[in-house]
Amino acid sequence: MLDKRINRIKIYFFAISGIVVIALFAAVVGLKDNPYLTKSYLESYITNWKYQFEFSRMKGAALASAALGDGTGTEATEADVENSGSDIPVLVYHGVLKKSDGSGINLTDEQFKNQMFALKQAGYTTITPDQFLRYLRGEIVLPRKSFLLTFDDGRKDSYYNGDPILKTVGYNATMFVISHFPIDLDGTNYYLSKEELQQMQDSGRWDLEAHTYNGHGMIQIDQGGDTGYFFGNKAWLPSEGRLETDQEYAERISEDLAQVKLQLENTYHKQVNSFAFPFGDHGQEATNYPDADQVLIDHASALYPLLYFQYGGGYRFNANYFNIADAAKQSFLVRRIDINPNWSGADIVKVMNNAEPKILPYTDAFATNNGWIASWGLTKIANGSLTITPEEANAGAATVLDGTGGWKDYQAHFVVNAQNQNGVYIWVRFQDDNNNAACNFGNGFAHVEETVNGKENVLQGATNDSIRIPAGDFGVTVKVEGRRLTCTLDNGVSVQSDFLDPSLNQGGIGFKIWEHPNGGSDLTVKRIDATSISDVPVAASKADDPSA
Amino acid sequence: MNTRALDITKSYEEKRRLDWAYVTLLMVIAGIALFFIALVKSKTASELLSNPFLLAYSIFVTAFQLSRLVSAIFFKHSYAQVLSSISPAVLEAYEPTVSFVIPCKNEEGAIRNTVTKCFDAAYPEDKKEVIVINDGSTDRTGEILEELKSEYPRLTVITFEKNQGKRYGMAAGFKAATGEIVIQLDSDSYFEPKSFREVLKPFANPEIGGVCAHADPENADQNVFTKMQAAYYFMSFRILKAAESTYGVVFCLSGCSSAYRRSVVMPHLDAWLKERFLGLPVTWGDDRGLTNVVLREGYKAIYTDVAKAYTIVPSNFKQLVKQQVRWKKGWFVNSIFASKFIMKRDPFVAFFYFFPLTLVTLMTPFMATRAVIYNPLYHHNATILFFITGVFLVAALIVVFYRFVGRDNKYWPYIFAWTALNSVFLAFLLFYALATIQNRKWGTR
Repeated sequence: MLDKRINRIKIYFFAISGIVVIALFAAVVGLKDNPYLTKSYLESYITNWKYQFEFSRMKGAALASAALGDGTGTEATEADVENSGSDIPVLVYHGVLKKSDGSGINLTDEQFKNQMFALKQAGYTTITPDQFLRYLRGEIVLPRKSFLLTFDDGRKDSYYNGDPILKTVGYNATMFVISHFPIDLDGTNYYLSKEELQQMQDSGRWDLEAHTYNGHGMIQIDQGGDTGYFFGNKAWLPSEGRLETDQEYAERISEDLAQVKLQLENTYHKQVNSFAFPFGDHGQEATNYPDADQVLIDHASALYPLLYFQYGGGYRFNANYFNIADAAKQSFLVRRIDINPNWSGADIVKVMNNAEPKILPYTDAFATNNGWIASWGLTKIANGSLTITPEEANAGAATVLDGTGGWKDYQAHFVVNAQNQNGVYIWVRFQDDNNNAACNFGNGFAHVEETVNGKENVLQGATNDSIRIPAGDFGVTVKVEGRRLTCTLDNGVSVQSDFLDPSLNQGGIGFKIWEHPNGGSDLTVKRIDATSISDVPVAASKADDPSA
Repeated sequence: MNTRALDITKSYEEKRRLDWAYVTLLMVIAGIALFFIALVKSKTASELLSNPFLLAYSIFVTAFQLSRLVSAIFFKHSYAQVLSSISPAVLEAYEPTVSFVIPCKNEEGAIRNTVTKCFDAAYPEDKKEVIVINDGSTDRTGEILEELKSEYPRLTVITFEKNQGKRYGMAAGFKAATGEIVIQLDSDSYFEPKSFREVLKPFANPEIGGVCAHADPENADQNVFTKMQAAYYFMSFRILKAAESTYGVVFCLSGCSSAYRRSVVMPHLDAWLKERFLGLPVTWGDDRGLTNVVLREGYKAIYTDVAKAYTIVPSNFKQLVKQQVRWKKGWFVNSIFASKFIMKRDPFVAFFYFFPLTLVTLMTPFMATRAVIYNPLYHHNATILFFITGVFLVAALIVVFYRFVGRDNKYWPYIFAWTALNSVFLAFLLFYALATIQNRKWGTR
């Protein structure tokens, strides 16, 4: 009799245990391959906590010091917005390592953390490539202090070590992927796998864009076995004993360009609009194919509205100042700031601050470096003056002022000292080393010059032995308005052209010298006073952050 | 008066709310533990996909552990069934004669208390007798027993001049006993006097052959080992034994606190006494052996949490290890004996409890070795973490149930300590126990 009653309990047991076992089995199957509880997941959890804690402490300290009124935090003013152009800085990182490799390319998680925390604290926010593109096309406005954060190559270390830091400060980033590794090989010890990239995209913090399909290596570029970049050079065909034809070159690179886009779009179901040239090489460097630059950019821009490069060798601003005319362009060639691992948090904030638009009127008395970027030679700012010096004989020196690339119609007065009275060369409407205008004074001549797409031109010149570079300090005035550029020495020598190339409709200032055979060709600048000619604000597409 | 009544209602309401909150909290913790168990299993699953046997085994082990808890949930319900067919009046009047049988050797410190407590038990004086078997004691045990005899006329002392072993002592006690029910007590155990009756009640149902009372360590607060054992005792009685009791098949009517229907045991007493394993007499697991008699004869062996007993547990590690080794030997030998009849006796228990338990107990040390030593050395993977996490999650689930049924038992955190000790050390003693199974020395405890 008791057995009968117990049998009923056995049925209950079967029912409940059955449900439990089925639920357990379903849960086990359902949870299979989840990312949780892996060692790296747990580690990143701990790291996250650590970073959050450190960041909250840092924020606390910053708030405290702001309350003391040390003036570190300043509010955006009307003027900040008024003079802004399309000046989004783009940072490029490679590896984020646990231990420094001393390469100068990769940095440690500690260094990366310091840089990101400092940027966040300084009020910088990240944007996505999509926002960037729409901004450049004038479709949207972006907060002041926006920037694009990019990583090259799709390396595991940059994701696993960098992501917790991004998460802490709420930044997103773009990963330029070499699609062959994740998609054909499903990752390696070094490169992220297909699934990891999916996780990154799913996190909402990462945007996957194209770096190359498999063109991140070197190729043989001549009979002697010399190697060069995949994209910038024609390949040597050993079996045929010749270089590729133009056609073969175009096919090779366009195939790679298309393949990476196709793979990423099919795998991750997204629009890929950005392509970063491997090594930052879009054919601008030494190459066995002089037309590489043009052909490459033509092919790339047919597929990608945004093309990214870095290095470049020339003198350029850190921020990108695209011409308004560019808004109609099919694609944009975007310069990225190649970060220095050794930049402290304060250093990177300074770089970014300097890249922000300089508001007119602008005065520089060289109490500190407001963004003078040395491209060649040495740029020294000390004792209230800027001095540029060639590093070696028969070389030059050049410097440009970051944050001035969006200047349009302006007049600037320079107090300079050309030590050996050799000459003075002032860039006006400087966009990059291939696109700029200049006032060039030498003993016996005064020129208005321009360089468009690398082609130099003297637009207006005065040749007269009576033109002498004064000894000691002297003044130079440049005035640019529309297509008219006027260059005037304080002693009265003046030269003017009304025919600046239309593409040079905006641009900043800078200086250049060439080593004189006799030496001592340093140029010292004591003071700059720049004012706006036009009261009409430049198209202010960049709005103040509404949340600020 | 009214406000007072209101206050009582209010506090009752409050208490119910607290109970409700407490139960909900336990449920939530159980849910979380279950989720994480599944999560950990899923991790192990993908690691073990190449090995279907291990995958199946890992799911089986968890399912088995959970099923024991499911069985334990129905313990109270099952216990109520035992008494449900008997009217309250009959139950009230049910007062069988009782014989306490206490074998002892050199227990001069504890024996007085044990005997006294038997006579203190809330039960008619003329219906109980105490039989102590002095198994060749060389200390003052004999003297103390003589003293006690003058105090308690219903105390019988059987003296073995030469030590013969606990089993012989028990047998002599059973033979001398006259009561319908024989209470088998260790020399350092005793029943709580006021709840003593509860261990007899189930015998009102003629299907019941043996009843095990709930035992807690008397010396629980002595040190960390005894606290761990207090937690272990509570778990093994109120959860594991209770789970067996749900089906009327408790495999071990514990030597420290159990009652037998004498008429069931007596015909098989000599066979039990002369049990041999691998050609040698069995000197441990006497209680399991006796329980096997009850089960084999088709009677129910159950556990009751209402009757309470106390016992002394080992207070140092060496004693604890010795006891564990003896218990493991007793478990092993008596499991073999039980396997001969359990399938016929109750196929459900055989297939859903007995054989799985045997398999898991035998496999656990191997699996632990694999996860903790072999895998990290040869595969460099993280299964050790999953293994440890899994073990503790199951422990957490046990603790949830523990807190559910034993809210006043304060030793529950030590379940984790016990689990740790068991998985890194005690489980492995099975190897040692099996290796030394031919060592049949008589241990006191």
